[in-house]
Amino acid sequence: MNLFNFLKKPKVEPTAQDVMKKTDLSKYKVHEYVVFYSKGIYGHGEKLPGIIDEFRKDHPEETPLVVKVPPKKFALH
Amino acid sequence: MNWFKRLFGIQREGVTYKYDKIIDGEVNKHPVCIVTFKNSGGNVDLKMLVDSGADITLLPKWAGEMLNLKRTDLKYIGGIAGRIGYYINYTNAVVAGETLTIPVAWATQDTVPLLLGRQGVFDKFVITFNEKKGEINFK
Repeated sequence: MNLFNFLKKPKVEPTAQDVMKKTDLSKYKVHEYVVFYSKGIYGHGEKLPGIIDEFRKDHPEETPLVVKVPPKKFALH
Repeated sequence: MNWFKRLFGIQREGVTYKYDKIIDGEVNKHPVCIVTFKNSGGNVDLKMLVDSGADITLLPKWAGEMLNLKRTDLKYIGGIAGRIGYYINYTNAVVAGETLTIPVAWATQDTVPLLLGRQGVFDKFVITFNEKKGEINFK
């Protein structure tokens, strides 16, 4: 029994959010949807339902993170 | 470790999100969090702006269609973006690790942002906007 196991940092699996933070969205078209998951970008395109349906078939255990690329001049205030 | 903290009355740290840009090239960062919406087809994560000025959570048209929300009675809401039509739905969502049933206003147009509003959410947490550090904490 290793008494010092508690000192080891638990391995943190990457999440879809981690992938999204490292992605440069400017290379995608405005109004395009980009679907992220823990292993990277699953797909992108203008037809979201198709991408989501395919994602669920390929990765039923994962939760996708969906981002719609807004216009460059989009402002909240 | 959580039992240890509870036993000795150590306060929960909660969940912290760093402020992030809404769009690339933007100078300002905003308080955002990832919300997992659960529906019959499966779960979906959305990056939402935490808006203490919004009475209710707001979803644009494309997000509601993705979540298979229903077109209930059409109502109108006024805000900084003008007058917007919306349908009220109740949906399950995971916010900062807690599963909640929250009311959402599903807008009839796509030109609204994803906003996490107060109803059903803010009363479940102590939410701290730490502007200096650029973090938002849900406890």
